[in-house]
Amino acid sequence: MATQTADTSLVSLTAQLPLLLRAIHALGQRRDHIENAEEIAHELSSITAMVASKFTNDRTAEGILEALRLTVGCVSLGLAHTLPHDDDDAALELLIEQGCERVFQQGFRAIKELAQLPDVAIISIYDHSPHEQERRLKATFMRYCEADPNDFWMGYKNFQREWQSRTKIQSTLNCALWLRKHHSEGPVRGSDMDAEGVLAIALIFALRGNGRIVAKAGQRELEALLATLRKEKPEAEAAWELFLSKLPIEHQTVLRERLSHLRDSHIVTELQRLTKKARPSKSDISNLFQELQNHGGNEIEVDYE
Amino acid sequence: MNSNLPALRKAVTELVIAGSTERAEEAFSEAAEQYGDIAIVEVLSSIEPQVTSLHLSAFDGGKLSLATLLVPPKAWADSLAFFAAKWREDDIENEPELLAESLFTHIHGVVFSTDDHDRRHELLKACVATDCGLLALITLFSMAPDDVLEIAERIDTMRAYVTAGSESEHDIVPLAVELYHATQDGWEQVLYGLFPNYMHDPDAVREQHADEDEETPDAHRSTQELLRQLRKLVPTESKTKERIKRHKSLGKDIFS
Repeated sequence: MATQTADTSLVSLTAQLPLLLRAIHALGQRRDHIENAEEIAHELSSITAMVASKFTNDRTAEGILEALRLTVGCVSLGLAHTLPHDDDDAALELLIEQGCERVFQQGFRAIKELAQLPDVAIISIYDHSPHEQERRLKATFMRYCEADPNDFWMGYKNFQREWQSRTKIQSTLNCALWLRKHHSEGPVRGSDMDAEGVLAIALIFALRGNGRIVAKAGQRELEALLATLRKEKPEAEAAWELFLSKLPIEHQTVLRERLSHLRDSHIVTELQRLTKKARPSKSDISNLFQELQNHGGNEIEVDYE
Repeated sequence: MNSNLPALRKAVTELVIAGSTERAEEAFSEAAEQYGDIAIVEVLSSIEPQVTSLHLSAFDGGKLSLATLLVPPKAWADSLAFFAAKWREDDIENEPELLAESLFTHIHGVVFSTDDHDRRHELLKACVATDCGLLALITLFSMAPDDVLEIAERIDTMRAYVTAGSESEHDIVPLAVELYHATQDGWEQVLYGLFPNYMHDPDAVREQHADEDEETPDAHRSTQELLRQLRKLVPTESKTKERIKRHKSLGKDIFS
């Protein structure tokens, strides 16, 4: 981060304005630019008007100003998203060639795709309601397209960073869904899911060493796990490897990352301690279950028959 | 030509649009000192007509303006098209005399700002050469149809020797005489424009005009009607510049 700040201070402000502004500056350098300038101005105002009526407020000055900032950001995003390099002249060519509306459309489609990616690794029944989808789209658009025409523009970098983080979350969700589907006692159904919880449960119960996939568990399963561990004393790393080998490769990567944190976690060391202990007490078990709940969250069944 | 002119033109245009006509005048007089009057003429002939109109109309009624004195006849005639731009429908309905009066002040002011008869004639010639200029003059004459008929008769008899005559007449008369001396065609066009039947039967027109019976329709076109027509002639951006759209608009599809 520190190096990045140092870098930006060396580049002038004009070189870091929103890409649309830089393209317009480039247009100003050209000869006979009036016609193109008029066309671009006209298109941009009509986009601004549409953005204002759809997302902000086309009856107040603030609403229109906000729409202008969103238009600047979204067109810039469309340019950055389409162009292979950060190049003002190429951006200008694209604007002239395809028209601002198409470029805006590109930007908006990118935003739409981003909005469809999850921002948290949790699935809830509301996720697919049209209302929620609309809210997400609007929030994403307002957040990643807002651009000050006269200030540094980090829009595309922010977009890319968010894109990366959400793709990661998506693969976490996919992994958890796969685990649920291949749960050893039949697929786990349910409209809500806490993906991190599912992953933690699967890794903890993989310690049993028989390669079975466990996506949902309660205290009864925990006691069974402890009993097996005490009896068979499987080697932890081998158990995990066996478990991972049953999974598609893309999910293995996700789980290996979780494993690096889980390996030294309290629950694993505690399980190993209790395995060696002569006779685990009632409080040992209840502490262990609490620890499991910390990892598994809502994915742990609390009812104990 | 002088390389400073585009800069001056831009400065004046911006000042006028911002409402600082006084400062635009200052810019003119500075430029006049530096480069001579011809520079101003050059600039005025290249400024957009609506800006010229705005600028000139700020100096109507006595205030002396370099622009009024130097505006090229063609530029002035073009700018007349925009004079009516500020008229409101209500004002045309309720106070047509006021609007016609202001139009008169403007035209009279510009034409008679100079003692140079050649310039006056050039101005009036350029004026009747445009639709709006012609209509504007007809509108002015519609304020005093009696005097117009009278002067028309004098012109018919005295031809080139006609003069403005006594002081008691309407202010229109000197303008009409000046117009006749500038261009006979123009004068006739204005006359026929005001009294549509005059060309075919002047006597009948006189008779109709003299008739005080309220049933008889007026022989001349009314000031109000002419003002309305003038207001309609104000060019709008969309008419003057047909934009060629290279990209078909996507409309709301930009969100798809």
